[in-house]
Amino acid sequence: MNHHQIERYIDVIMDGMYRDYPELEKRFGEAGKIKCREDNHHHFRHLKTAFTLQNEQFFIDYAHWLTNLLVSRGMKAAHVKDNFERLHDVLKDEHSEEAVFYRMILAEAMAAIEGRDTT
Amino acid sequence: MNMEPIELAHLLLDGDTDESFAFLCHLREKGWNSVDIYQSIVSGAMQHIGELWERDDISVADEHLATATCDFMISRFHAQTNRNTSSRKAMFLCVEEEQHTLGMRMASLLFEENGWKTRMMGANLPLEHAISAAEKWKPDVICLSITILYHVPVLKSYVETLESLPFHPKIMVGSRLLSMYDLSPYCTPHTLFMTDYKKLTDWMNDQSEEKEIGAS
Repeated sequence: MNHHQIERYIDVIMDGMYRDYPELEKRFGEAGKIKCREDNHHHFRHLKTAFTLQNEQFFIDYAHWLTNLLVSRGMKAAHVKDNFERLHDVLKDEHSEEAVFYRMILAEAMAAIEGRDTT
Repeated sequence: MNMEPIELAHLLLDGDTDESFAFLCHLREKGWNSVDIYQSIVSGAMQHIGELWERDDISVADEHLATATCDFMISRFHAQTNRNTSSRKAMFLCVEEEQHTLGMRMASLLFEENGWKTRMMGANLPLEHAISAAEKWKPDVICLSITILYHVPVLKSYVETLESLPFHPKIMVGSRLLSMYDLSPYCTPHTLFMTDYKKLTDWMNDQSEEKEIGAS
C-alpha cells in the first residue's frame, strides 16, 4: 500500500468522521484535524508492521495502548473503535493480501476494544 | 514499585540535575552497584515517567525535560565510577528513525565500566552509515537499540548485514520490547538479546572468563 493510497484513505476516513461528528471540529479545531491525520498515519504504520512481521498481536496491543492513551485524554473507547471501523470500511474494495490482513486484524482489534470495560 | 524510582522520577521532572545526581551517589554509598541503579532505579523512574505521560498527568515537554536531565545525570554519575581495562570494543546505535537512546546509553556505560572501549553512534543511524562506521573501527560487538515496534521490520537487515562483515562482530539487540515479544524471528540465530542490564553484565563477565581461559 503506497503513500498516495494511504493519504486518500485517510481523507475518506476524516471526511466521514467530521461529517458524522461535527462537534469534533468545534471542540478540537484545526489542531484536532492535524492530530487526527497523524493518528491515522500511526494506525497504518502499525497495520503495516503487523503485516510485515505477520503478527496480529502487535496491532491488538497497539489498540489497547492507544485506547488507554485517548481515554485518559477525555475520549472514549468508542472513538477508537469508530476510527477502526472506518479504516475497515475504506479497505473493503481492496483485495490485496495486505488489505485483507489489515481488515482481519482491525476486526480483531475492534472486538478487543469492545471486550474492555465501557470507559 | 519501590519508592526510589518514583522519588527519582520527580527530581527528573523538576529538571533538578544536582539533586538527581546526588540521589544516585547516595544509593552507591549505601552499596548499590551500577547495574541495579540503572535497572531498578533509573529505568524504573523513566518507565514511571512514561506511564505518567500515557495517563496525561504530564506533558510532552515534561517528559523531554526529564529525559534530558536523566541523560546528563547518568553521564555525571558514570564519570565517577571505577573502570577495568580491556582491549575489546563495542559500538552502539539506534536503527533508522529510532530516537530513544537512554537505554542504550546506560548499556554503553556498563560496557565502559567493564573496561570496554565504546563508540556511541546515537539515534537514527541509517544502515549504510552503520556499515561504514563499523568497517572503520572494527568493533567486537555491535549493539542495536530499538524501542518503537514499527521499527522492528528493519532490524533483520541490520543484523544480517552487520553480522556478515568480514571481521565477524557479535550482534546484540537491546529493547524494552523484549519483555513483551520474542524478536528472534526477526534476527539471526547468532543474535544476542539483552533483556536487562544484569544479563548484559553476566555476558560480559563470561567473555572475560573465556578470554582468561584462552590466555592460560
